[in-house]
Amino acid sequence: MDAVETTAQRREGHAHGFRAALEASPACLLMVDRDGVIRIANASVRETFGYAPEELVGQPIEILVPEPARSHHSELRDAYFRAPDERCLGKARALSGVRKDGSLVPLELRLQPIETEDGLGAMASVFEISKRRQLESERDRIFELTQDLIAVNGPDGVLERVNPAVVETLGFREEELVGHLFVDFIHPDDRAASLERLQDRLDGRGGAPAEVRCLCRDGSYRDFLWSTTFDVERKRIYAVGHDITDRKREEEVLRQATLSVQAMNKELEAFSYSISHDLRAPLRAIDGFSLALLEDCGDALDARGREHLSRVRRAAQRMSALIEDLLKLSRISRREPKEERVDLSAIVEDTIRELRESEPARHVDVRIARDVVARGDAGLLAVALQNLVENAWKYTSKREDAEIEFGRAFVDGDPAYFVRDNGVGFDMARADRLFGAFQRLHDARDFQGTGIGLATVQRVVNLHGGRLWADAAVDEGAQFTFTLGTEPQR
Amino acid sequence: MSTGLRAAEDDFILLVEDNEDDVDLTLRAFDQVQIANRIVVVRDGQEALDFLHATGIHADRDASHTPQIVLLDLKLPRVEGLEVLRRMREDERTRLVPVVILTSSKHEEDLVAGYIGGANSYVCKPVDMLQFVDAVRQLGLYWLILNQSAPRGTS
Repeated sequence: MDAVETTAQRREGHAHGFRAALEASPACLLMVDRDGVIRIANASVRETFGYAPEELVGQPIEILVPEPARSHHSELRDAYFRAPDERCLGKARALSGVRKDGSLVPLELRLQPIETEDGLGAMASVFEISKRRQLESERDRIFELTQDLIAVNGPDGVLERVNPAVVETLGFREEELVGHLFVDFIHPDDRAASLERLQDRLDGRGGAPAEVRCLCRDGSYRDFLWSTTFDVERKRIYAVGHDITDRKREEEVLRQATLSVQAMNKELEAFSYSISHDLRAPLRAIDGFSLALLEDCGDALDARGREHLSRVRRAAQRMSALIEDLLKLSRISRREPKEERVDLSAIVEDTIRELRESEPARHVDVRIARDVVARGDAGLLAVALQNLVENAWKYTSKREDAEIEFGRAFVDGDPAYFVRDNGVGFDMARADRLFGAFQRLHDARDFQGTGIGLATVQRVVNLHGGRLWADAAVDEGAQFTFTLGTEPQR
Repeated sequence: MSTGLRAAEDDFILLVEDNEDDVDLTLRAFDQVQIANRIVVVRDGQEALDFLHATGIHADRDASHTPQIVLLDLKLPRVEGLEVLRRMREDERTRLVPVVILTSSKHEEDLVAGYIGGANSYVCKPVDMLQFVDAVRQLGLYWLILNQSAPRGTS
């Protein structure tokens, strides 16, 4: 019993001395137990955190920890107590505490495990980082972290300091760079200009960032955009280089691609020109002389002979139409679509009117949704809609009760436009062939066509960034629907 | 042979066309629509210029005797159609001679270049011969009958 009291008394004495030492310390000291409760806070906490020591004792340490660290601080604490050791925080990564008034105070912090009568605790010595030291440490951190190259050299052009990005990007070790002339690492063709810029800076002249090729350890060169400045007081040149190698490479690829597209377009232009001119001339001769033969020597031919000649003429004219459509298709493909207000209903109405005039005997029930307006290229959309409506007209020609409908629907919230008919339709199993040039799903004896119409529609819709699809069934009609990527978002 | 349009003795049409078939078909079309004007045919752009400006093989011609109308193809050997047009418009003697571009090309660029170059009309030759004959009929009606050209020798 006595012994116990003695020990307790001794402990108390120790504790008293300990506290006195704490109070006397100019450092801000906090002792926290395993549960994160502040057990001891010395007078210096007032200066650092704005709290009186008695305000903190008994509080969880988290009240001094700002977000976002606060929310997972207890886990950090548990991890610390699982493997307690002496460690410094706030050097590698910036650390702040939160003051009573809510403001942040940049800190460094030393943690030491401490054995108390209540068990294991941690003693935290808190050092406020002065503004200047904080800026310095931030600057150092940026120097280390940035992907941009940073180099410092003297007026003589000898490199004195490079950041890790230089080492990483160029592949030279730091000691292979520092102590050497910076121009040794510059492409021979860029050296003169670089030295000139160095002189400019030394003479107090500024300048825009300059493109310079720098040597890598493997002998290759990379492109950088270097900004340089001269510190007169310290007589140092500071240079920051941004790696633009990839950008330049992409630019070059793009330039080449543009050139080859331009060349291809030019070739295509010449090609379609000669098609339109040279291919039509012999067709005209075939048609013209067939007609001449019919006119001049018709009497010498029997009905069959005259029919043969008529067929020759029809074939020539069909081929002419084919050439015409192909040229149209190639012209459309090379066109940059405009963006304007287009009255789709009006286009459909005009097309139907022309079709009715061309075949006044046909009875077709046409329904056109009114005032359907879209944004896109008026000329191209007219071509597309004319093709769809003419198709509908054509493929309903064998029906007594032909119906054609144009309207707008919404597909996934986007406006979509459709042309529907109740004509012969087609087998959806063959729909994949629908939009290729020269693909025809119908016998030319039943329905005439060049097989280019839907390919043209497809191109027009593609140029607008939209989608075209078909729904059909044999003898039940077809519906073609398209969207336009040019529509404003709803 | 003409019961339709009467042509003065020295009136003539200049057809600049290198394709033999097209020459024959064009002559046939003029014949069918009963345009009896004399038609002079030249086979390339250089010959057209020589004829119009009385140079080269046509040096002994009287250049002031201009055609009523020039039917000009665009794609021509030696000197192409647009160049013929340009040089016609540069020369005072042929500056005002009506030129109808008669070509297979439906190229918008050709059309624009033709009008900018000073063509009076641009006609695309259809493949269908009946349509072609019809085009020639209208062309003749307009340029040889209705239209009042500038008097010859005007510049």
